[in-house]
Amino acid sequence: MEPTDIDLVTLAKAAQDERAFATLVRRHQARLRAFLTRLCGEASLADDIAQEAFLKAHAGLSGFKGGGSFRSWLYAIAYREFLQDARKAKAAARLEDALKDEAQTSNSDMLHAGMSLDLRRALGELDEMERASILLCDAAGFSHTEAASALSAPLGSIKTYVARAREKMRAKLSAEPSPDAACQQTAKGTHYAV
Amino acid sequence: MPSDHIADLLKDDFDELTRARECDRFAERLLYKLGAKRRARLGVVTFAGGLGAAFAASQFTSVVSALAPALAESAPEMAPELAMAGVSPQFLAILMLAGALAATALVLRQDF
Repeated sequence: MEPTDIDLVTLAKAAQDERAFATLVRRHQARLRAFLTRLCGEASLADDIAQEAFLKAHAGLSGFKGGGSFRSWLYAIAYREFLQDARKAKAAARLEDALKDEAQTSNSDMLHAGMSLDLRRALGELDEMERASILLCDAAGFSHTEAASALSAPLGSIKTYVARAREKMRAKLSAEPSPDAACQQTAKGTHYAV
Repeated sequence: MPSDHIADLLKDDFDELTRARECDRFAERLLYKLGAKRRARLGVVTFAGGLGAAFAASQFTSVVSALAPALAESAPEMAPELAMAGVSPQFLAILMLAGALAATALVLRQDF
């Protein structure tokens, strides 16, 4: 039977067991980085934030009291790191640039990305708390309580953020014609004309 | 478009991102970085230990000859029995130094 996160944290704390912390890193790194990638819109920045979060989690492991889940504690550290970075470097502007860059990728990439690009655009238009809430609850599978703990927000606010984010994304995705679709149509038209 | 469809799209996108990140070298790079402090400490202790051991080795004979009479004097009533068992004060001094070395090694093993 696989040890739980709490077992591993206890081992890492009590016996200074590096292997226990390594297992926690391997267990959570991919999902944490996926969350941060969608949150900040840039994979390399997301990796930097994730790395910093893990280093801080390792240094402050004795501060984890086990009241909530380990992952919500870890994501809380990562979210604080993200906010710190966002304040420093105006992540919103960077997100816009990243989306522009992605929009300029080749047609085949865009076809492959398909709906995902629209999704990213719609996500990019949400504010930070809405984006983080919907990513944690709808994409990463957090409960509202875990998300509230990770984002240091009241439970009721998280529910509101998620509902509002879904509504905004639904409106965005169903209202605007996709730039991808427009591009594909143009490509098809050109093809037929030739 | 229903809200649960948004959730499905987000989840699919998230799972795809996660899959792509499961097999890269991020965890290994991070764990290597985490071990850097420990490795630096190990290096310093090894260097200091090596230096100490070299010094102790160079002084071994004089340390043993200094310790042996002191040991013989500290328990004079044991001396005949030890002599009968073929244990010299020099041998006791060597045992004492070996014990100190083993205790140090035990502490270091727990540290690293």
